[in-house]
Amino acid sequence: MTVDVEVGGRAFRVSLTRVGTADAPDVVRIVLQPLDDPDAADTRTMHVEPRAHGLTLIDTSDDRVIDAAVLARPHGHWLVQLPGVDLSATIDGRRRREPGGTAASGEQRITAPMPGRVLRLLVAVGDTVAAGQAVVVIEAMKMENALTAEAAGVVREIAVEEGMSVEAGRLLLRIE
Amino acid sequence: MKVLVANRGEIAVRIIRACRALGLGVVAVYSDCDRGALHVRLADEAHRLGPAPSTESYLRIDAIIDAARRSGASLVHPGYGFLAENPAFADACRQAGLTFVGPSADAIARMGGKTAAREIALGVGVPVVPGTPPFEADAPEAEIVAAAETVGYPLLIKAVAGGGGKGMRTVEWPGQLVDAARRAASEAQSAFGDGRCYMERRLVEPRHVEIQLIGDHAGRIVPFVERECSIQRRHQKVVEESPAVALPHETRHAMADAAVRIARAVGYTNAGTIEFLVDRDGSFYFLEMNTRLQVEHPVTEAVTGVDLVQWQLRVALGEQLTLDPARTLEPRGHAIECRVYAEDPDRGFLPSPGLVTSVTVPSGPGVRDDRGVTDGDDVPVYYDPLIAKLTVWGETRGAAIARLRQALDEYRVTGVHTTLPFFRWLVRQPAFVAGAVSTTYLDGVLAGRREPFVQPTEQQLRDAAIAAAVAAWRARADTRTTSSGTSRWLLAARKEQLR
Repeated sequence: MTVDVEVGGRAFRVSLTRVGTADAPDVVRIVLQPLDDPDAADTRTMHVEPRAHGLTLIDTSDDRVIDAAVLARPHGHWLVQLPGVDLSATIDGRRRREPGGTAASGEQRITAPMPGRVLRLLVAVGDTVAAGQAVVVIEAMKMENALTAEAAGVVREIAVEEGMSVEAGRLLLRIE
Repeated sequence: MKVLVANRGEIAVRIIRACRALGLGVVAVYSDCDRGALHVRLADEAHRLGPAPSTESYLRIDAIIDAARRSGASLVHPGYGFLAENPAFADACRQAGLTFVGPSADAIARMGGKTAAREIALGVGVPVVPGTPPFEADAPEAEIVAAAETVGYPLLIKAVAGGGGKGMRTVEWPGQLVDAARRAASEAQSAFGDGRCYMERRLVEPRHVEIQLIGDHAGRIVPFVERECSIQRRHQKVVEESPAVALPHETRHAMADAAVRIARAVGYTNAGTIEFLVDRDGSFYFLEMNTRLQVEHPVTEAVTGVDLVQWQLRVALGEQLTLDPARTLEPRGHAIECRVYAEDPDRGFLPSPGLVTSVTVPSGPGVRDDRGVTDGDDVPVYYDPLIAKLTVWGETRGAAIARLRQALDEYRVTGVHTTLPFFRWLVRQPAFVAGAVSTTYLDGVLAGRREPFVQPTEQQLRDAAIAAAVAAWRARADTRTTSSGTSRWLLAARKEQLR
């Protein structure tokens, strides 16, 4: 299997091949290729030990261990927590974006950054908004969080109502 | 004898521990989303209050009194937040024949109204920061603008019933005033059921220093060495320490004396905290009184060796204080606490509720961890995002900081984002190490900050890419295996048989 992974502003192509035997089935050959420098590919053979909410990977050449808590999030996003650092990774993000055309130029989709309740809608369909203008207020964990428009535009759609409970990633409004 | 703990999360766990140490039985209460929570698991028995939103559960006085009756509890400990500073709750407990572990309803009412409390302080000769009388949530614009003129800019808008930074706004110039006032009132209404707010002048780079005290029913009031809580994000304390950095000995005693005078003026009993702002010239002003146990009480416990929650219970049961102020005002070493929130510091401290998949807790000499969640517990979206408090003690402030760094590096929470990466960054900032901070320090350095608090190394990025790819690959393989009819349970069983 080959996937493109974006993490921390970097993009890698990762190819995985099972090379395990009956005695040790969970051995994988991994080719990691930075997309900005395809010649710098790195090939490793690793033992995969699944845990309840993550993985322990052991490099067969030098016994180095990767201890990762991994959590699937919606839309190809993954939360990868290594000791001392939390990272958000996207798998095949470009491939996902292209066919849907959701990243069409000029369109902003304001989505709920976390689960919560829509406290106030500050704009209506047809309103013109300025970059940085607050458009909706979400309440979570007793704090109000105002979400802002990244760029100027016109509100095309409001997908929620005040008082509604929303999940993380839920589309709130669309600005063009 | 049983104590009903009318709270949840880390503070409910903390109170349960004090009850156990005193040989008291423990009754927990819970909302629907907390049925399996740690505080419920640690209690002897637990009673349901209602649905998850706090207005339908932890804020329901009738449901809590009913749970106390059903369980036969004779004391009620409110913790902090929720009903802790609601005089009607203290009164309802008394009328139901229950002992409220806290001050009298009258003392809560008199000190809880922030503007009335200022009058009391002035009455016993303690200076206060200039401010306005309260205004209603729907007060006309003209009234709000006129009131603001009397204190001048910059100013702070605070909820009369407030605490913990909720319903509080900074107003730098007149153009921001009305919108800020409306927002503060709305937040105050939803957090405390009281939308009234007032305005107060904002001092320039003040330090936040507070005096813990505890009073018994014989009229004795014992003050403790001060805590400093100048590291705040949007008026919410995030790091607290004791003693304060570079507070002169005379100021400590003057402050303790002022605190006792204020408490005495309202016949205060049980634990409470008098908060002060210290100006750059060293003069201090009464800010407000918290008529309850504070989040940051562990730093005081660490430098005095006193168990404050046990004393709350003992005083409530009629015992007289045997603490010696000469000892409670003299710190042994230095303690620092970090409030670990389920928030993503790299996305503007956005709340990060969800399932905590694992917790690795630091330990060792001088390290204390108070936690409300453990592996497999949920951080609900309905309540405060505080999940743990890490408190370290050292012989000196420098030794405490060294231990704090080590403990923060050891601490690991997975499944949700936490403020741990932010703390790892903060405890290495020169201003923090030097103690050269005021209540405006943190918001100042965070404003406009873009880079992540922990900069990942190239190796970590590569490791993360590999881990994500392997996890995605396994997830796809699992889907295939399950759909083709081979159960993962069967596979696991076969593997077991081969052992």
